[in-house]
Amino acid sequence: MMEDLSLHILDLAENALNAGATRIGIAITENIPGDRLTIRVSDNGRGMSAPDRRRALDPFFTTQKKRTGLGLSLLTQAARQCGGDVALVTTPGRGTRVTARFLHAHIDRQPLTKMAETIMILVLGNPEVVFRYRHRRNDRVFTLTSDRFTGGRGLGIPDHPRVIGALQQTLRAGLARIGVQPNPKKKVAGRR
Amino acid sequence: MKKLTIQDLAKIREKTKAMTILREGSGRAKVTVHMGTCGIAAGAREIMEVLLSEILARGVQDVIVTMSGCAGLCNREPMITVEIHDHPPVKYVQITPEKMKMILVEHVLGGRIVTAYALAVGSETMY
Repeated sequence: MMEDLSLHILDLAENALNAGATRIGIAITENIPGDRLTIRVSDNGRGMSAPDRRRALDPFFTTQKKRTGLGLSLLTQAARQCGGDVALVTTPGRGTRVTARFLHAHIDRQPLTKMAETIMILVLGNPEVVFRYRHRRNDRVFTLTSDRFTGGRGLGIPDHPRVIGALQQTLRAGLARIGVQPNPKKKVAGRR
Repeated sequence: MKKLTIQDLAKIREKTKAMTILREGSGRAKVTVHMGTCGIAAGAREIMEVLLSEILARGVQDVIVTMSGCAGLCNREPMITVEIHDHPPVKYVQITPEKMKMILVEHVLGGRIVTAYALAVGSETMY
């Protein structure tokens, strides 16, 4: 069981990377008045065949040797237990799009938490991949495209700590601005 | 078998380029955090967070941090693999944030394998 929805997002992105994706889109829409939370992860990976697509949400189904085949089924369970669902659209050779919908205010809905950290890990762990992250919370939107920070370069680059710092700051400030995560600067000041 | 396209070749080139950075000498070491579903559920994200924050705090410039899927030992997650140039890779299992900090200081930066947490040496070759 995943503790929060950002872990499911990390898992979906890892699936996309495993499918050879070079561009991954992560879109989150929080419509609080409408009681909707939508998570969409799309990629340009190899996609799935029709038989694989039919079984993709089944527990323990995987096309890989070392994988558990539980990621999508856990996400489906998490969505269904709070009035939502999971939709999967895939085209062989062109990519896959997974959309998970939740009732935002449902008591059993897992929190998003740690979105800044999740995106940071994906970007820094896969600098050759372009991530596009878009987070809408009601009428406020934050977007980030990873190649602005990595330039498609491998890690080990001389300014690696500088890239980490810049990305961390942009994500935390951007998500704080739209009300997704508290501003860490304020927290640190409070502790001191 | 499906025919390779130009786009497929471009993807392979990018992936191979990233994999060979260490061999080409632009990095002192590579740390791979295994992030399959099992690793993520067991706390691999926290391990990666600690690793990145330590690299940031120490100003380390020549360590490659990357992620990969399940390493095949789900009950020993979170797992990492440390590769130092010209040395066999070392797999560490059941990593905690404290263990991660120690491995970074001792093995990645100091070159001394932390045998207490290591599962295997040279179990796979990635460079």
